[in-house]
Amino acid sequence: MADPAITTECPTPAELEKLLRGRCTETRNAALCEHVGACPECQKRLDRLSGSAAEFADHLREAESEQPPSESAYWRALAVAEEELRQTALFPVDGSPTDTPPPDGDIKLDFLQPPDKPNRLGKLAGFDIVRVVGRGGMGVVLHGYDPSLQRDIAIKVIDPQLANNEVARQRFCREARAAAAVTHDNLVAVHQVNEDEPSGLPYLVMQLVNGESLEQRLKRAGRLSVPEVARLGMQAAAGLAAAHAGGLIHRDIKPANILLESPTDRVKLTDFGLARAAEDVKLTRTGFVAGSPLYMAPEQARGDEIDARADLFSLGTVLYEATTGTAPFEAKTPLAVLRRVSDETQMPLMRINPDVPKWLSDVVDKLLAKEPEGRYQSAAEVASVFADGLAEMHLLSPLDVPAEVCAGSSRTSTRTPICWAKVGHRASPWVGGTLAGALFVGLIWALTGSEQPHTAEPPPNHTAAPPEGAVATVGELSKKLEDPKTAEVVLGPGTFDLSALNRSALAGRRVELVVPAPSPTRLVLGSDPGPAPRMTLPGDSGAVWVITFLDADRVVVGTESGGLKIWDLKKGTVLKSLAQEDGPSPNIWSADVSADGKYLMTASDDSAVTFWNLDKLQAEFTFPESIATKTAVFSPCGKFLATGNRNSTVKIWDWAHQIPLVELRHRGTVHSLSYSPDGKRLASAGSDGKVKVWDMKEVNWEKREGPTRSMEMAEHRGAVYSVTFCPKGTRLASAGYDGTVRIWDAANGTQVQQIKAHDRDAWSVSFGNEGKWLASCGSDGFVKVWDVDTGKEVFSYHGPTAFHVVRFAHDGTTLAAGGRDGTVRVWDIKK
Amino acid sequence: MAEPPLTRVTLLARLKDGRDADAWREFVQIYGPVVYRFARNRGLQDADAADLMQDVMRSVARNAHRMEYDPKRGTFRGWLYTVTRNKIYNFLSSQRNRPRGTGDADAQERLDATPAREEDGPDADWEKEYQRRLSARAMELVKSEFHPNTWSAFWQTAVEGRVAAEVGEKLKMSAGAVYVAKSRVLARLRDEVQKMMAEEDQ
Repeated sequence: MADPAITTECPTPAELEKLLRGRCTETRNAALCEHVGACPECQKRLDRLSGSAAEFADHLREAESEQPPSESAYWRALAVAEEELRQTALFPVDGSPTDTPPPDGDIKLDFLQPPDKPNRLGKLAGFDIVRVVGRGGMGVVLHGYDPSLQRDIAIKVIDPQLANNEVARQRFCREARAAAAVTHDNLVAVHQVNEDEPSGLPYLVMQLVNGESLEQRLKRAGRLSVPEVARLGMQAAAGLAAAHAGGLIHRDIKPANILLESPTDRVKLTDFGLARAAEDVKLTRTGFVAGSPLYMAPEQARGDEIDARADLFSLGTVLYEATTGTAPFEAKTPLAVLRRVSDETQMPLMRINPDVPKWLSDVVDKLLAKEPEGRYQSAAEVASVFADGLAEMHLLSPLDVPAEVCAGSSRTSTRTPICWAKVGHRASPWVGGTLAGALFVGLIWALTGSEQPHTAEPPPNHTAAPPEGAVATVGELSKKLEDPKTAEVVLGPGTFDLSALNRSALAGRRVELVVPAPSPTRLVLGSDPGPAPRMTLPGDSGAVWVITFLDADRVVVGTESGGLKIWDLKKGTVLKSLAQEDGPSPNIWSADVSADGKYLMTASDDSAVTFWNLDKLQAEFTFPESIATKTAVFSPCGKFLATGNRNSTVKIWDWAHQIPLVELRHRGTVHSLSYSPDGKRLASAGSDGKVKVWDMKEVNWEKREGPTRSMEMAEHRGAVYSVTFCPKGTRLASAGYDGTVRIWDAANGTQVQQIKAHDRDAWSVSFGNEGKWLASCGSDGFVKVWDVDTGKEVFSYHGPTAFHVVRFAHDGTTLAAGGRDGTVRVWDIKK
Repeated sequence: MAEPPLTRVTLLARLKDGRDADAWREFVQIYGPVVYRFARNRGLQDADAADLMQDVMRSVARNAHRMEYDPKRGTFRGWLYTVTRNKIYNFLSSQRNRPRGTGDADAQERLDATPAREEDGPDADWEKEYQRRLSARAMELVKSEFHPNTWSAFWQTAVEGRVAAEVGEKLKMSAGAVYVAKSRVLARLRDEVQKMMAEEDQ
């Protein structure tokens, strides 16, 4: 190579490589370029070296040419995804099985709507948000104010991460609804389970408990005294007994979930079933079981099937920690905790603290048995053992004894009579009057704020003079009770043997024993519960939401756990239990019978609308909607099916062909639909507080365009749960969250009656007696029938729990109502 | 072309670390577009494909940890493919009742074209999208390393398919220089792609 600048010789592979990497000198580079330009062979060699195979170049070309256009949703989605993952990176999910610690810094409240009052954080679904109460693994707890019912409430909004998990979300809602179905003094009441419309986040509306959690108490006080522990044990076990009887397992009993209500430290358990929903997320996320390992039963830690006895183990660990200040199986790492829970036996309490009586130490040891068989077999038993222990320490007033102690597990604890003989002898005079002897069935307890001293010393004698007007003997009590005008009796100090009472004087009356400390004990006499039902259909699968009459003698009953039964009202027997073929069914929200009587349609939370052939009594077909269907009705002509879902939409379908024809809008969940008898109008009711009436004549079926306008009735405050046309089509009735029942002129939308029907949510309305009557029912436990023209009450019944649905049969006088307790009551109302 | 790597171990390890925000960004930059375009190829509209991509990315964020416990589950990319494919399948299934309603007669056909089960790992379509994306990503990364003229020479010849002489004339370069420029960029791109893939190979 004499003159490198004009070389015609091909470069060596090494030199070609250098050229490719740009490592040749300027001069050499220029020369080689010139050569390559003229030498096809070297061009090929370069191609091979640089990997410029056609495929690679194709990739480059395609990658470039197929960039989405700038207006594509892709770019935004990419940016959002990146931001989301960046957030994930900043707040990594802890791989350990402990609860995910809340992120540092401020709690994000961007799901709140702006406040419309000063000193508020914002609004959520019509509630004013006052402050943030706290944050747990499951979400944020907010202190809210319900302007329509004018009460303070707690709202738990679920973690958005949990809300994105469809399975967890559905389970959360289901478990929360189940929790709402159990009412007990030692459980935080769940009022409502819903979804926030703009953010799509599920939330719980709960009783706001003033006080602190046991976790906070222990942090503050270190540990509790022996009487406090015993009292905690008794009340927590009583709460658990009620929940277990309702089919609920808590799964995450720990100090943070045990609230102590001021001023008496009444125990309130919270967050039932939420652990289950969290599990769905955490299992997929980490492969570990959910729950706090410190308080977890061995079988739960292993991930085995658990039953109610796992909660008893957790209760044992909580009581142990409350007594000693340290959890029994505390260890440095979660894994070590799991090992200790499974393998080690705790040091008995009486050996750690000699002040702990043997019975208490033994109870806790038995709760902490490794095998469920070695524990107490029911929470009611535990409550009873604690009651005995407290009585022995002379710390028990009979009024502290929860119903479960005597009644065993019972769903309807509030109606269970206390066994007086058992508690009577323990009675101390300082709580005011006590009662001995058998008491009539149906006594309703309302133990409000019973005071309990927190020391081991015997309670002081009650030295104050008997309150004015107090009765001192059973004779006096009897006399007062015989007077039908008596609404309340104050009991003086002493013991009352109620077996001496004239019970006929109280037949059918509701009696509550109210023991507010420090004021005297008194009996409150309520009104007659109302006419006894002709029959009560028993329930075994959760709250009833659906009652649909097939004819005067056959009625379909649907429940929130998917039960669907056809009852024979003449015989009081189940004609047929309908079951979905593939596994457990979700909540049944709505049902209707087709015009020809051939099909029963049910709508449910798993989005499916199912059509049951009533001749063959089996599911014939289903069509899935993408959003949970809350309500559905057939049109009178039989051709159409109108559905309302949780996503603001009413759809009218050609149901036989499963073709959606027209869409109509609300804001929020559509709760109820009703066709006018002539089928010319469709009424819809929704969470937006509106009743809308759509004119079907305005539908363009060809173009599949619905009416854009509707007649709107927006008087309700809060969601409207039920709407129905009267049989003549001239009136509409609606009911909702505000507890009112409203009757409207169907022609022009004028409100003709507004009835303050129920103290809490009014869930359902139904016309009877050719439109002259309207039945309603609500969360306050009342079923009522109103005279449509006058708005006067013509029938009233008060049940033990909320009623969700009320229906008149076609005869207009047979009335059926069902609700939380799972039963359906049937009356014949006389004209 | 090298054999497709088995598992994106290193990137996965970085994702698991959680605090490595760069790893997430890189992950989204590479796989976001793969998922989007794969979905578009399966017939999804722009907005639906974008939603689906977001959904898949979230899924990964939630499940990255699980990958550690069971590395034999399959390749990362294969797993991502399954997630994507299932989501597309679900989406198209949910559309199944709509064809008559929306007049979209193709939906059923698209659904049928989607295999119900994947036995042999990611399909060719998915792999192709992945390779394309790696190539595109490499271009983004190395472009700044070259003189604009060098890049243009590469671009116009390799990507736009023009002849070297013609390109050289415009860029005032000899045909040979254009050829070398193209090869140089290509070699660099190939290195970068291999590096990205090597991250998975380790």
